[in-house]
This record gives sequence, C-alpha cells and structure tokens, in this order.
Amino acid sequence: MKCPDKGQLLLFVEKELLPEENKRIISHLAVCPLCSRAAEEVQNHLAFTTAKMSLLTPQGSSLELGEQEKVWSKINQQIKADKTGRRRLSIMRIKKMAAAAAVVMALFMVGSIPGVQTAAANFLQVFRVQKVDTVIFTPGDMASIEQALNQGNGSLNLDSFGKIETLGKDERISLQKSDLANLGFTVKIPAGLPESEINYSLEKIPVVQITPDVKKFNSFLQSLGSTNMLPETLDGRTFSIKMGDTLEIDCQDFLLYQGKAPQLEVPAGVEVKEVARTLVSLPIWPDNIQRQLEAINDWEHTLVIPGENSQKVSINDRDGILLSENGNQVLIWQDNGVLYVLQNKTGHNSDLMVIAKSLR
Amino acid sequence: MHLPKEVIELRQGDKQRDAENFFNAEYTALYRYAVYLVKDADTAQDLCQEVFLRWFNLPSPQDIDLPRAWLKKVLSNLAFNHLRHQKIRFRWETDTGDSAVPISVDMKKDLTRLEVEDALSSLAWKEQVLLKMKMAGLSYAEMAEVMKVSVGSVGTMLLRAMQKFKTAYEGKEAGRNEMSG
Repeated sequence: MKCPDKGQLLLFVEKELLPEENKRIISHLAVCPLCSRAAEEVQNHLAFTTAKMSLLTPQGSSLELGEQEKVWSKINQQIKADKTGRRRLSIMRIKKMAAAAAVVMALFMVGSIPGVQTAAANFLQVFRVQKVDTVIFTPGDMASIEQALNQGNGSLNLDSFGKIETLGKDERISLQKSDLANLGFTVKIPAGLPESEINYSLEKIPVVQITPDVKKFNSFLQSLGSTNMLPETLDGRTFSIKMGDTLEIDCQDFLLYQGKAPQLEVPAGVEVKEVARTLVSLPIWPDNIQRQLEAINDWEHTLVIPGENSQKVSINDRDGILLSENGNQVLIWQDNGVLYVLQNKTGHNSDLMVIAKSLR
Repeated sequence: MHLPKEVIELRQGDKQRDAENFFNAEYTALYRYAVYLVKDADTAQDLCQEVFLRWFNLPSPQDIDLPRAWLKKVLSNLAFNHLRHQKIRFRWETDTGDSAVPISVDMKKDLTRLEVEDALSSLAWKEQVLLKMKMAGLSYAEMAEVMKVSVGSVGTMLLRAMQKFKTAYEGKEAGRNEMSG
C-alpha cells in the first residue's frame, strides 16, 4: 500500500474510517516508520488545537444571554405570520390552504369526471382532481382581499358558511416497503436512492364535510356587495372532500407525498360551475386575481393552489405547479389519478424537477 | 386538509406550551454556539431565531432523534452561509463590532484567549469555521454537509487548518518570548 495522505491519517486518528480502511492503515503503520511518525504528529496537532481552542468553546465561556424573551416573542410572531400563509411554505401550509379552500365552498377544490355517478350513491356526483393550477397573488393582493372581507358584516369564520365537520382521525402509521403494494394506488419512488435512507409512513386524512347555510352565506355575500348569490337549493346539502390516505416518503434531502387525488362529492342537481361563477364574481378579488380565476374554466377538474411565487411546469407531460418562497420549494402535480407533493427539507436544494422526473 | 379550526385551536394551547418549553431548554446552548461561530451578538440572535423557526416549521419534528444536534447543524449551515457573504467585511471586523460579546472577566485566561483568537484570525475564514465546528463537537459527516465537501476533504482541510493554527500560535509565542527575553 502506498502511504496515506495526512488528511486520511487524521480520519484514522479520529476513528472516522471504514473498518477495512482502518485495518489497511494499521498494517501500513506497522511497516512504515515515516507514516507512523506522521500519525503521531497529526495526533499532536489535534491535541494542541483542542487544548488551545477549548478557551473559546461555547461551554468554556460565560456571556450575556442576549434577550432570550425578545427572541421568543419574535419567533412567536413569525409563527403566527406563517399561519396566515404569507411567508413560509411547507406541506402543512399547503394542507391548510386546501382546508381554507374547502371553507370557500369547495371553490378551490373540485373533482373531475363530471357527471360520473357511483352506483352506490346515485344521488351523488363524484369528482376527482385531474389537474393542478395556480393563482398567483402578491402580498398587496392579500391585503386588499382582507380589507374587502372586513367590509362585510361580522368577521369571516367557519360559521359564516354553515356546518363543517371532519370524519375520522388524522393519524400517522409507519410502513414497511412491503406495505406499499396494498395502498390502492401505484407507488412511485425516486430512482437511485439507497433503501436504507428512505422511510415510509401513511397519513390518514379525515374526510371534510361541508353543509352550507345558504341564507347566512348569501347575506354575507350581499354585505360584500355581491349581486350573484348561491342557489337556495344548496341549503342543507352536504359536500364532502376526501383526501384518502397519503403516503409520506421521507428521503435524506426531501419529502415526497403521494395519494389518490382528492375527491369531491356533490349532491345531485348541484351545478359546480354555477357555484364557482358566484364565487369568482365576488367583488373581493383584485383585478389580476379575478382574471386568473376566470381563466380556470374547468372547476370540476382542478385543484387550485394559491401562491406568491408559483409557476406552471411540466413533469413528463403532466402539468404541475412549482411554488417557491424564501428558498423553499414545493412541487405539486397530478398523474394518473395520483396527486404528488415534493418538498425539499430545510437547508437542502435538490432539483425537485429532476427528482420528479426520476420517479419509478 | 386536516381538522376543523376549533380542534386546531384547542390543540394549539398545548402545542404552544411545548414549543416554549423546548425553546427555553435549547436557547442558551444554541446562542452560545452561535456567538462562538460568528462572534456577534445580534447576528447570533438572528441565526438562533431562524433556526428555531425552521424547527417549528418542520412537518414532523418528533422524527428527529437528536433535536439539539439538529439545531446545531442547521445553525452551522446558516452561520457558514452568513460568513461566506460577510467574508470580505469579516476580515476587518474581527472582534471590533459594537455588539461583539464580552466573553469573560478572568484576565489571565483572557490574555491566552486573545492569543488564540489572534492566531485563529490569521487563518482563512473557512478554516476558522471548520476548526470551531470541530471543537464544538460536530461530527465529520455534519461538517462535510455544512462545507458541501466529502468527509475525506474535511480531514485534509481540518488538518491543514490545525497545522496553520499551530504555526501561527507558536509564531506569536516565539515573538513574545523574544521580546521578554
């Protein structure tokens, strides 16, 4: 064996080498006095630096603790700001956006296959998301929507719309790779990653049911200055949004979620388009938002994800949305009835498009 | 998607308390580490704030085995990036900024500490950060991640930094001995 370089000797001294490399060095040192001395020298350097620098180490110093409470209150404010959905982007936020969308009468979340009725529920129309789309807004837009909403009577809350309930618990279960075959959809996994670095878990997402109180809601619309109203026939009818179970694939640098595309169940006789038209025409939307909403002509098919920095992208010929904020990126797309959400972990910058295209 | 607002609000009371307890338990150590790396109290505070925010924004922090190591690693990353952007100013501002932190009151220790700081400041900024991370107990894998190099390169860089440090420190010592003798 040729002589190892000194950097490697440091790793050896620090016990950072793999067992076989370690053995090789030990047997080399036994026969090479030069390296043997070099290893000693490396050890001396390490000991010297450690001793001297211990004077600087964080534990070895007493210092003023700089306003811990102030930092905590800043963090708290920031977390609250995050909850309003303005700054940071995370999978949780996307889920919250989806929930908020549900509250706005399923406007932002409507299924596909118009008119397909399941045999089991002849009185229901079942729609499944087939497309993702985005509405791009600026912080100014948000402020102006908020202002417009505040001009309405009373505050905007869940009660303004009627009854919103969830069925089932949200829970998370760890999975083995062998469980993936039984999820009811074909699981896709990023190519070229060592098995040991991947963790699987299943998140059960409750069904959300919305039963609008049309009178209340219409009077709210009226107070906003809207001339279009929801049809009286919606009153007391129940809409459900089913997300199904979502598989979380936790890789070293990123998270990949996948599950059957969300599904909306609408009572027979309800015209999704009509409901959407009413909501799109609300006077609360700034012009550029309204134009974007009007451009979505296919509410039955489309999952709309609002974002400040979103762009439409194409993944293996499927439309997707790439959201980015503060250096965090989230990629969302739909393929063959499965909705995918791909997100970098904090501090990582993998190219999400490349990973998405590598799914097998 | 998840739960209705009422349920989320109920849970938030508990979550809020948990979050605050976690912050209080971890802040001191993290702040000290931040000051040690960047030598500036304001920057250290900002870095800590950002690290905790990222922690509280994790989709599932319960999956992280060693929260303290995670905090330290993310802080190292942020500090490294911060210093990279600051490196030109950094050279001029070593230890002189308004918010530089007074570290101790023990005079004799202070003198030696100043010598150590002095020797350290003659190294490239990357070498300084690397040595500090090493001495603060980061693993080779963690240092490699922060520096975006392989573990092997960390070995080489670290050794070179230690050699330079020793030479610089002993040079100063030699200078002092000559003056006194």
